[in-house]
Parts: sequence; C-alpha cells; structure tokens
Amino acid sequence: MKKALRTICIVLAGAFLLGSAGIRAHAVGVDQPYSFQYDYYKNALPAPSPYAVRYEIDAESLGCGYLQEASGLYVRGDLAYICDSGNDRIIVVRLGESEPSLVSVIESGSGWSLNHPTDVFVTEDGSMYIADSGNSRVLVLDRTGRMNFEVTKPDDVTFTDSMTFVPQKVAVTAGGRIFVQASGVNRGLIEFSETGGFIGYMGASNVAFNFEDYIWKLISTEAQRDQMASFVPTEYNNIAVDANGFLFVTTSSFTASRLYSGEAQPVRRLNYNGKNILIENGPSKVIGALRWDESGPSKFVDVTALDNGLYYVLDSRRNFIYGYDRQGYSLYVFGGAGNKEGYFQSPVALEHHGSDLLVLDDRRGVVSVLSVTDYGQAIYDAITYYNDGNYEESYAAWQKVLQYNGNYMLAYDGIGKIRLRWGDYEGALDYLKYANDTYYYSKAWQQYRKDWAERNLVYVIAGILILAGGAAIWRKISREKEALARYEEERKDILQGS
Amino acid sequence: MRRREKTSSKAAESGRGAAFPAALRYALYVIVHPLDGFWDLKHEKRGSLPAALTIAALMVLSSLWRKQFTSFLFLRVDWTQINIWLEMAEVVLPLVIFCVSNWSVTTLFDGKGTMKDVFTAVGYSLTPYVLINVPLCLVSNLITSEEGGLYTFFYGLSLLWCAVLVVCAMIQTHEYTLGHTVISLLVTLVFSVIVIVLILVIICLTTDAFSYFWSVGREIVLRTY
Repeated sequence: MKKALRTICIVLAGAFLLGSAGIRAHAVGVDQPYSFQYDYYKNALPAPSPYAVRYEIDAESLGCGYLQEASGLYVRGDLAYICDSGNDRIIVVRLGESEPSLVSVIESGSGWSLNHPTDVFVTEDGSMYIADSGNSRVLVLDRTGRMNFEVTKPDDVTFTDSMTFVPQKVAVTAGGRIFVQASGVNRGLIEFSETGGFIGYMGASNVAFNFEDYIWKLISTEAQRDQMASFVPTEYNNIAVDANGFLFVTTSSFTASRLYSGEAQPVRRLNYNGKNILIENGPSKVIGALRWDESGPSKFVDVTALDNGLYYVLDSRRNFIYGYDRQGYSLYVFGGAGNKEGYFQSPVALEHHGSDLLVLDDRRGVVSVLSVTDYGQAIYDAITYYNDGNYEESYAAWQKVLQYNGNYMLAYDGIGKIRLRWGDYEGALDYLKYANDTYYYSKAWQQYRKDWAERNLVYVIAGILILAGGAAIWRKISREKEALARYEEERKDILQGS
Repeated sequence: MRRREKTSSKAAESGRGAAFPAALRYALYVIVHPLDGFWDLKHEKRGSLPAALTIAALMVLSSLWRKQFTSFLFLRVDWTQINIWLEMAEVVLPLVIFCVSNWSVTTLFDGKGTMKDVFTAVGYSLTPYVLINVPLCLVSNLITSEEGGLYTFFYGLSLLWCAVLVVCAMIQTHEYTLGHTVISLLVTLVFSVIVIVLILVIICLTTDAFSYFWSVGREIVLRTY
C-alpha cells in the first residue's frame, strides 16, 4: 500500500513537472501584425513583409483633381487605367520606376461619353472595354479612342423589361469573348460574343438542395418565398483573367458555415464551361482569414493572378491581401486597416504589374503600388525555380527565405522535397516534418527505412541469432539447475527416509 | 499456479488486497481471462485498489505519451494549444464520472459492487490501452502512411478490448447478466450526462452566490468606512 502511494506520488510529481515545463506559445491575434502567415494549425504567425509600398499614385499630384468613388483598375503593359467613377472618367497613368506620370484622361469621344464607369479592360491590341454602368452598356473603343460597338442589355427572356442592365465588371478572354458581371444578376457572368451578341450565362454555382430550406418553403407564404429566393444563388463581384486565359472570380455572398465546409468557394478559377478548377491542396481552403471574430470572415472584392500562377486576393473586411500559390497554399498575408503607408482604408481593386501589386483605395483616392521586398522576392524565386525544375536555385532561394523567416512552412517543405529528389532521404525527413507534409515525409521515410535495412541487414540477422542462441543456452542452464534441485531433493528424501 | 493460489489465499486471509506487485501483475491475467479474472478480483481479492489506480494513472500518462510520441503521420498535435492539465482532465474526469454514476445506477439496480469494486474493476479494464498504446507509439514512428492501417487497427483494438473488459467487469462485479449489463451501461451514460449538467449548474450557482456575498461584503466595507 505504501509503495503504491509512493508510486502515485512520483507519477503525479512527474506530471506536474511536465505541465509546468511546457511553455505555452504566445498566440498572435489576427489583426496585430502588419504581415503574417498561417501555420498548419491555422495559427497566425508574424512574418516579415513580402511587399512594401514603392509609391502612391495620387490624382492630385498628377494634376487632375481628386478621385471620387474610384472603383476599377486595370494594368496593361506599363499603363494603369483607373476608373474614376464619380468623375465619369478614366485616368491613364504610366507606371514609372520610381514615380507615375499622367498619360491621358479618357472622358468622352465622338458619339460617346462616360457615365459612372466602374471597370475597364484593355486587350493586347489596345482595344478598351469599359463597363459604362451609368449608360447601361459596355463600351468598346479601339486603340485610337473611336467607338467600335457597345454591348447593351441582352435581348433574352431571362432579362425582363423591368430589369436594368448595370455592368459592374468586365473581362475579355483571348478569343475576344466578353464576360460581364452585372448587378442583380445571380446566374453567374454574362457572356457576349466578340461582336457583342448575347451568348448566355457562365459559371453559376449549383444551388445545392437544402432540406431545411425546403421545409421552410413548404410552410411559408408566396410573398415570403419570393423574398427567400433572392438569397440563394451566388453573385460574383469581380473578374480577372490569368496568364492562361482562365477567369478568376470572387464572391462574397455566402454564409460562414458554407465557408467552413468548403462549399462557399469565395475565389474560383473558371474553365470554359464555367466549372471551378481552382486547386486547393493546401492544409486550408482558399478562404482568406482562417479564424475570425464577430466581424465575420474575409470578404473578397478582387483577385489578380500573376504570370507564374501565384494569385492575390483582396479582403475588404480587414483590408488584407492574401497571397496563394498555384497549389492553393497560403503564402502570406499583408496589408491591414490603417492610415499608414502600406495599410488601406477601403481597398476596392487589385491589379498586378509584373510582380508589383496595385491597390486602389477609394476612400483615400490613391492607388498604392507595392513591390516585393527581398523576402518576398526569395519566396517568389523559390517557387518559380521549383516549377521550372531548377532545383539548385530553388533550394538556395528557400534557404534565404528561412534566414528571413524561420517559421515559413513552405520553405521547409520546398527544401525537404528537393532533398528527397536528390536522394538525401535522411536530410529530407526533418524538413518535411516541420512542414507537416505527410505525403512526402512518408515517401522519404520509406526510402530511408529501406536503405537502413539494406545497410544493416547483416547486423540485424546477427542480433537475432545471438538473442536466439542466448535464449536457448539460458533455457538449457535453467533446466539443468531444476534437474539438479530435483536430484538434491530426492536425495534428501532418500536420506531422511533411511 | 501454485504461487497464485498462495497469494490469493494470503490476501483473503488478511482481508486486504494482494501485495502491490502481485496485484499489478494480476492485471495481465485479467485482460486475457476477463470473466474469471474479474470474479477473482472481487471475491478472491487478488487485485487491489492502489494497483487499479496505478493502472488508471498509467493510462493517463500513456494518453499523454501517445500525443507526444506518435508519428505526426497519424496524429497531429498543435502544441501551442495544448494545456497538459486539460489533457489529463479529459481522461480522468470521464473515468471518475463514469465510475461514480455507474455505482449510483447499479446501487438502484440491485448491483452487488461497491464504489471501491467499481473503481478497481474499471481501473483493471484500462490495462490494454496502456499495454498496446505505449509500444504502438514507437512502432508508429517506423511505418509509413501507407501502412497506417496497422496503426488504426491496433489503436482501435486497444479501445475495443477495454470496452469488452468494462462489460465483463460489470457482469462480474454487479453479478448481472449480459443484458442487464448493457442496459445498466446505457443508463450510466445517460446518468453521466446528468451528472455533468449538475456539476455545471452547481459551478454556475456557486459562482453567482459567491459573487453575491462578495458584493454584499464590499458594500458593507464601503459603507462602514
């Protein structure tokens, strides 16, 4: 009993020591650091800034007043097109190395003038597609500013007379197909032919059958039912075209529960059938913030995809920019709400110029031009080199990333994968473990185990033989001892008996 | 065989449990001969409460050990979010609540076991969890995720074995039939939920009462001075 008590005491003391020795890591709030990243367990960890403001495009210093309700932004070549909706004009700015310069202001031409333009898209040959929302049309200009044609309200049964056509965002794919996101349209994007003819809708999300809704519909009146219907389908809020000609769209009409289950898909990459082909292989889905307070989940308003497959999404709820790689891994998060340089008050549009990012802030009326820092460049290089099969360079770049940020999960993963490729299985193990990459860790471990077994087969067999032999000898000795004892006992009996 | 008889008879004579090491070793007999084992545990006093508590403590430790040493291929733990006391409470509290509510239920249902019997039997039932999981953690570090079925199988086996032992323990401790046991276990689960709710209610009310008296006290102090 006493012994048992002592054992229990020792066990409890051990547990106490374990408990007090475990230092609780400090959890970082989502809104504190300027730049952060998510670890495997959805904790936000502070990180160096991947992007820094190079300069700001301020309409006033360019000599053309203030931006008012600016809502659209587009970059083609070195030119940035800013939709100054409130002033019914589009400002064209040349993006210089260290400062912007004004190129032109587009307001009107022969037979057309802009009324609250909300978005603009420029093709490679210089044609401009302007979502001229006040005039209910998409205006198509050629490179000289002459009106080519206009896309107006589709002549289709789905568009009743009472509905007005208010194009909000426009994008054009390589074939000249025009995709329009119009307000109040929840069947997806409206697709027009290269000459402006209505083709149909594209990319509407399937409305899943919901038993709860069904029950509610059964018991509600017709008026209530009409009210309900307007909540169901997804309405996109922005479009971008990536380097491969696929459409990236964002949406913010979903409920948090659908976001958790992965059904909401706030960022989508649509193929030509309107199917979502965004790759989400990361530990978390592409939903922006992974943890949030009562202010709610991320509300995406724009997306832009770089030429190497990386894409950035703009969250207007907390003014963060989320970077993802083409596999859907979260790279980093930066930005935030504030008045300082690099923070935003009300970001509405996001574009890229090479690897620079342009963010339009409609409350401040400026476009911030952000360019990658050394840290961001190292990540960028590492991913690009890896995708190109240039593993030595990628390895060096990931090591550089780790010098900046020892918490960077993808760097460990990248180094681990490259070591695995080089056949350094033992060296890969630790890195893949830090990265929580079970798939590649398992592969590396399998190889390492095989090598180990092959190297040490002789010792293993020798060890087994020695153990078996030892056991046999031991058994023999104990048997002899037993026999001896029995003999002694018998002899004693005989002696006593006699 | 001869030695075991000796131990048990000695324990029965003295009226106390068996010597600690023998009582602990007896767990190995119980897990493979549950019906016989649990009968002797109670009637021949071949086990003891301290041994059972030790096994339970080992079970708590091995659940911690499992979190710490299982390969991350099979079990991922976010160590930044782990509070070791909570982890231990997660194992200990359900066990204690189960034993207490089981005793409460079976007392009403004509069970023959005392509280001490219930704790002892449940403690001994946890042996397979310790015996399987401690080596399993080490083995998990040697296998790949394709061989994960092995891990899942043995982990499941350890839980299932414990469950079977608990059923056998109830049959023998309370002298029930199998049907009775299953029903009493179900009622025990329901009762456990009630106990948890009651505990929460008591905590809430005590906190409220405490804060009431505290504020009355503050009031008096502030008025007096």
